[in-house]
Amino acid sequence: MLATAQSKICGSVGSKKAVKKVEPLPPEYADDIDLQLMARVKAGDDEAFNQLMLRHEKTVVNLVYRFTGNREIAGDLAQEVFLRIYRASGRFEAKAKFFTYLYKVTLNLCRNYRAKAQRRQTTSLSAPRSGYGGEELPTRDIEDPVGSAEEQVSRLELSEMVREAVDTLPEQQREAVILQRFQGLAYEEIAEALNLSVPAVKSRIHRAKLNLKEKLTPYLERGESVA
Amino acid sequence: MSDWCSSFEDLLFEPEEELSDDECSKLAKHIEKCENCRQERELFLESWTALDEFEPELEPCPLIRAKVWEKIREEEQLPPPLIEEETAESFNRVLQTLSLAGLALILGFGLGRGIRPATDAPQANGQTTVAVSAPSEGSAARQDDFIDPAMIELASQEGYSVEIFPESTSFTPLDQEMRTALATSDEERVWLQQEQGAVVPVQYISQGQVGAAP
Repeated sequence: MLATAQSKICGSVGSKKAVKKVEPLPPEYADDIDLQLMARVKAGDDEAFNQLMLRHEKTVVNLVYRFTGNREIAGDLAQEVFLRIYRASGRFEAKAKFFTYLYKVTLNLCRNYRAKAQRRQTTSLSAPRSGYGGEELPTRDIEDPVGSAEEQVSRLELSEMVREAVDTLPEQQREAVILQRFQGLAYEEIAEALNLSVPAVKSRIHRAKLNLKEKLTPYLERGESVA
Repeated sequence: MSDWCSSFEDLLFEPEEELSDDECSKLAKHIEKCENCRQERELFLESWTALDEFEPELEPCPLIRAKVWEKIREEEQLPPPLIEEETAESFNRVLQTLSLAGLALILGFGLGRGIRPATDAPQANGQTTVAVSAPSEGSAARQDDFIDPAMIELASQEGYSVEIFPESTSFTPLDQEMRTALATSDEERVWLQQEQGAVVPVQYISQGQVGAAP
């Protein structure tokens, strides 16, 4: 399977088109490997785009997965992210770090996906879960648990509580906390990706933490009393 | 109401690794003698740790790149579009903004009334209901065609409940100037004000309908 995939990838890159002269990057970004690759992609170098995907596919897939909770959708949207970047590569200008651009494209697609999923579910009669503002949320994949039966139940329960707590955060807080807690971005990086000031990001994350604590406290307190 | 000391709020809800040594010792001294803050700190740390259970890290499917290349090659076989997607979208937006401006002029100056989101709205459980439209299921949705989450959050923060009207298909992005021009009262200004650009349904403005779903 993997071998087939690799040969497919290499086969695709093999069918190369003419490569133009690579435009030089602004001095402040001259050392940025991703921007160097984008400059090569802009010049028509498909191998550079393959490298760019290889460097960032894990980040993109996991970011989408955390937003949608669905592996299949994560893969599909990740493809769409890279397709958009490729399509727009001819107009790409190195005005900021590449990750800012990558996160913006990914977040936009995730927002659209969630909004469309919410719209679809507004007209659906089945209402398993609801999010902030009463909207229903896309279904999430459940992990196979490991450990003793008791641990499994407890872990599944906690995992479900955490998912629900994160899912039902207001969208803006959710985005900020996912970027910080799970993608490991610094406040400044989140501010760039979300087009916000650093204090605004801090405020959103602070509110998200308080909200998460509120949502999880009943479960955590129950866990203590049981123990 | 919060039970913790507000002067320690910034430190109480930061994970250990985000605090400097000074901040750590300052917080430790405080929670030694403040039971409420100690409990809040514990709950926060437990909830923050519990987030580890949110989603495990995925290994991307090895076919992702192959599929991207496949789509790229397919697209390369197609004839080039007459106008680029982004240009078409920008053009549509300009058209929508212009039609909104026309509507606002008619409503504002011709009929002598602006939009009335909050004042005319029926009361539901003591809250004013704001109409937020969503394109219908069968309509050709644009890629960025969605209900602005910021708008829903803002409306909710302002104490409005949010109804989604699946029938409407028109959305218009508003810039700051347009928001100011459209608002005829402080209440409306609050409703229209957005941090990152609002999306207001044209149908709502043209018909002035708010409240119960049709």
